[in-house]
This record gives sequence, structure tokens and C-alpha cells, in this order.
Amino acid sequence: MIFPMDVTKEESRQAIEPQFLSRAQASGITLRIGQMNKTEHEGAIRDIGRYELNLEENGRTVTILKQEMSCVTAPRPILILPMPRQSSASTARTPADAAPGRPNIQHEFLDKAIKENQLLTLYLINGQRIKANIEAYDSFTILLKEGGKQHLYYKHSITTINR
Amino acid sequence: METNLLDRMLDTYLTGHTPVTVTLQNKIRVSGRIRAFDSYVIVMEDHKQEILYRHAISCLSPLAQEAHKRQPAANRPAMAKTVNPGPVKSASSHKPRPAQPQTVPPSATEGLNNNMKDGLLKWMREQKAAK
Repeated sequence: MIFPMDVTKEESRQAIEPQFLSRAQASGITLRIGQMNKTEHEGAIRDIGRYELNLEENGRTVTILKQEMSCVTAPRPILILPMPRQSSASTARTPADAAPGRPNIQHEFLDKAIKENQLLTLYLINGQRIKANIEAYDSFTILLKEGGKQHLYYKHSITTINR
Repeated sequence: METNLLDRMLDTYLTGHTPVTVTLQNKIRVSGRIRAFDSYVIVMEDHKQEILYRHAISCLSPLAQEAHKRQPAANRPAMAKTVNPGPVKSASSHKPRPAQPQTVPPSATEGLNNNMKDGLLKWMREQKAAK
């Protein structure tokens, strides 16, 4: 009885990206979306699909593919995460998506950065460099906080993370 | 949550004959109307048809308002004409065709045919004579 409940909780905690996007959609906030090819879109989210988004930009609906998105920036924090999350996440997450007995280097690195509130430098595929603190992450995205803004970076656009 | 938003958007643009701009990964913009699509490609039509691979698409948007209004001034009458007779493609491809044959060929082709016929008959006669 406890186990399935726990799993759903854990899943909902892990899925940063859908949470972030649905919050943004609900609040009707204007987001800035940077793409891999350095084009930018600005507007409010209309619909959220699994692989694409509909953005209301200058009165017309633009469909953007997530595979081509590199970052989503919210002008103010829209996803506030509970603090105890990080400590439990590192223990609860490892058995779920990593082979037992094998260290998950990425999760260790990111969990440590979250816990110690380290300033990270991200290098993107398109050459951009970002310095920010990491707030949370899930399997496809990383949530960053920088200058009162919240950024959601897709891992597929990141090449390196330095600390 | 929807399983495939892109399919739905493509379908609305297809049925609405909406001029769209597709931005590819390399920032190239392709604009036109969507003629058809499946799970891998999109067939666009502007002046000629082209196939876009869906894995190369970065963004899909309806054509900008003013451009949309300006273009149909030239395009829409043609569109309306082609739409009315029935199947769009056959109508549009039929139209220019009668115009071309009328202007040049009838006499020319006949002349050509006659020349060829004469030549051929002459040659056959020559062959017979030779035998």
C-alpha cells in the first residue's frame, strides 16, 4: 500500500519539466524560449505536448519542438521546490534508474551541487556559457536559478558542466 | 496530455489551408501551404512541392499576419478558382496545360508529323526499290 504511493510521489517530484511547463501555462507568464540554433521566442504557453509546445507569440500560435529547445526562462521563479527534496532524492533515485552497485556519476555530481549550492558553469552545444546555481533536475532537464529568474535547460543542449 | 501536438497542429493547418512558415534546424525558413503529412515527412506546396523531414524541423508557425493578408491578394483568387472545380491539384495542373498547347503546337506538331511520315514513306519506298 505504501510502496505505490511512494513511487508516484517520487515520480511527481522527479518530473521537473512537466511541472515547470504546466505551472507556466497555468500562470500565463511570458516565457523566453531559446533554441539550439540561437533563435528566440517569447510568449505564453498555450498547449503542452510530449515532444512539442504551442506558444502564443504576437497573437499567433507557434509550435516549437522540444528537441530543438535549449532553454526556457521564466522572469520570476514559478516552481518552488520543497527543501527536503534533495536529500531524499539522492537516496531514492539511485535504485530506480541506475544499476545497483554502480555509482551514478551524474546524479552524484548534481545532487552535491544542489546540496552545497555550488555555482556551476554550463557550456551549451551552441557555444553559450551560463553561470548559475542548480535548483533541481530530472532525467531530461536541469532547473537553474540566476538573477531572480528561473531557467529550465534541456540536457540535450548541454555539453559540459563545470564547478 | 496530448500524445502528439504537432500532428494536431499540422492537421489544423492542412484543413484550414493556412500558409505556414516552417523553420528548420539550420534556420532556413520554408513557407507555403501544407499539402500532406505523415509521421516522417511533410509535403509543402508554394510554387512547387517539397518534402520536409520532420526530424529536421525546429519550429512551425502560421505566416505573419500582414504577409498573410498581402499574399492572398495575389494568391487567393487563384486559390478560390482552383478550389471550386473540385480536386485542387488536378484543377491547378489542368489550367496551364490547355494554354500551352493552344499557343504553339497544333500546326507545328502536325507539320512535324507529316514531315516524319513523308520521310518514313520515302525511306520505305527506297528500301523496297533496293530489294
